[in-house]
Amino acid sequence: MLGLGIFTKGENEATMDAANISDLIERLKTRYPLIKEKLCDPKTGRLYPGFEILVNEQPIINEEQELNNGDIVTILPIFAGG
Amino acid sequence: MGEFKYKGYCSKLLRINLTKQTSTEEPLKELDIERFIGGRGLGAKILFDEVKKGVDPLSPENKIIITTGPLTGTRVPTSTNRFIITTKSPLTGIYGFSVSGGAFGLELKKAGYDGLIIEGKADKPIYLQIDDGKVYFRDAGWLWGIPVFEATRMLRESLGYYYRTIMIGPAGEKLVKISGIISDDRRASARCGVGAVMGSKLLKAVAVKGSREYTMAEPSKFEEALKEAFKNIGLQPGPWKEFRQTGTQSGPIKNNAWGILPTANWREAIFDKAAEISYPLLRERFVIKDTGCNQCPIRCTKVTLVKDGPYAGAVTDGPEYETIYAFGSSCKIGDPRPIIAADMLCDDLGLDTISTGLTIAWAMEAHEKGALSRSDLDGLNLRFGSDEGLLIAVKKMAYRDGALGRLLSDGVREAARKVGKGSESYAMHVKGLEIGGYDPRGSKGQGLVLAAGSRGGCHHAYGVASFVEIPQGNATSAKGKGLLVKGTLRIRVIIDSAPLCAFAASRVPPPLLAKLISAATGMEMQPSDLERAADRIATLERAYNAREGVRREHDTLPERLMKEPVPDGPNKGSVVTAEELELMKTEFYESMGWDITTGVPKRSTLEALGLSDIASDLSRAEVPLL
Repeated sequence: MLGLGIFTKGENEATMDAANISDLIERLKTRYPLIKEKLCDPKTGRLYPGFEILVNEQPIINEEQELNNGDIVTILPIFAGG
Repeated sequence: MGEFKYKGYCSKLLRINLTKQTSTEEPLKELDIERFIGGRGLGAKILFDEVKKGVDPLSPENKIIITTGPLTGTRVPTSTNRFIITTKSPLTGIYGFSVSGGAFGLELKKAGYDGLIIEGKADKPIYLQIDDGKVYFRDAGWLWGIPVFEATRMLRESLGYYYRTIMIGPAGEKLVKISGIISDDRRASARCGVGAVMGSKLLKAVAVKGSREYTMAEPSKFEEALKEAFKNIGLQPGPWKEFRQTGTQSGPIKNNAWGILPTANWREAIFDKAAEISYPLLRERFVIKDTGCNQCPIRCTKVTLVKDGPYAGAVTDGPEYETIYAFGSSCKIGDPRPIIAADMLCDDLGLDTISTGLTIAWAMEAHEKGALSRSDLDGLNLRFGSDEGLLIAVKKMAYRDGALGRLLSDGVREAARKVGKGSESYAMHVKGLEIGGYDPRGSKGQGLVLAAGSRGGCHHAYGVASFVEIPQGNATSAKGKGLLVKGTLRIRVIIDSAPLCAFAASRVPPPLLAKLISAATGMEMQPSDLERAADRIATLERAYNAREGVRREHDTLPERLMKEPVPDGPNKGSVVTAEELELMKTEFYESMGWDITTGVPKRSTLEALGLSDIASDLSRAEVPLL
């Protein structure tokens, strides 16, 4: 979870069980309430757009992508302004 | 004169003298291309050579230089819609440039020119008509005084809609130092007061039409590299597909979450109404269309329309994040409707939204503190959290109308200087340019970007360090930020010279860009060559400013950011300390090969970068060269 330390009590890494990306994000929201409060759309509950999510350094196909034992998921905020 | 060595360029510049009403084609120099590529780099070189130390930016001796690059006219996503305007800025008195999207740059290249150099001053308002190499100086009396949208429609109806135009509004005509230049597709070259330079020359517009085909050196190699670029942009899952949904309008909620959203004239860094002026609410209630610059696949522009209330009917391409920050959180306005209306009005009158919004935010604070009275503001009750009088203030600034217009039209530095009473301490500019919207108290590298940037306190010239240091998780540390900013600067200079839109940069990284430029031009280019060119261009920009007297001590930040701690949020208590700023500057200067005492490029660096001619010029101008 690169750059999300202010929402995760300073933790940049976490280990957890999750069936797929969507499930993983729900578990993160539970463990780190600030992720839910600050980074998620209150209407849909989903992460706001603009996060690069990689599984084993490869971009995900969608949030239903299944996860396997030992997978490393990286969540990285992408900023763009102008 | 032999044939120009490289493809991908027109190999010609067009010099236009408004005083004499002459136009001359000049050869593009191969050495200039080899050293500076095009776009921003080429503009910087021409400005250095032709606008010398001490020139008054609003005098006929200043020049407006409009350039494109080798990839303009190709199918590289976003390349064909960038052009750069370079001039000496009347707002800052130093190097100025403005990057714009839209169709004008492509049309200029189709007309046969890699750049325009406009000098002198007409004796009455004119516009330039450029038609495939033929140049006409046309009377603009019938357009002068008319806002941009209507004047553009009138001009293009008169000439034909194949013409693409750039134009100043009443603000540029009145030499308002925060005025910009607006294209017919509502793209703004807004920063640095470029509109006032055009107005000082009595030049209302440039209209261009062309039919020249692009010539390419190695088409099949180019196609191969192009496939890779298209694959990267927008055609695979990832944040760039989502960017089409959000544009830059998710900036407020993101920056607010990270505690770096400038609020109440930068007094605060968290805005309780951030969500109300951000994606997704903007998309649900106001966005009517996704669009973008010509031939761009990203489609980042969100066209927004106000359907109800006192601003009903306001429609704009945007507002972009910086405009939302300047008129929204900076003024504590949590309603998108006046922000949309202000964005539209700034485009129509030809004003820079960042400078205008920040200057109004300063006026709100000055009024709150009693430094400005209601009569100083022509009776307007400008105050944080209220849009009352906002659009009237914008209009007065564009027309220099009334006490308010006369006070605020030339930006926040000038306004604070006139008012005094401690208001300089909350005038949010660096070197006169109102600053871009990422709070360095929570993103220290961004402080270096603002302090040392070549055109003043902008978020563009040296890249946006926040975009890198926040994901890296070390935004609140000053360590290593000199090197980080060297990295962001390199990318930004390269893409401004190629050119390429910043929103495509991560998908067309330097190795791929080098392949594209090499195949397009036949000029052998490796990623290291691009980096070296970026260092060269950035050093040239610095040399220009050094010649104008800029030294290390001028690379600083507004007092507020160094003395007033963030009051709440994740960065509560934080400032950019003097020690941190000096640490970052020293590391940055060292990495760039600039003297750490003066901030001036060293002679050895200039020579190593192939800029001995620049070193000689600086010596003649008595700039101390170590």
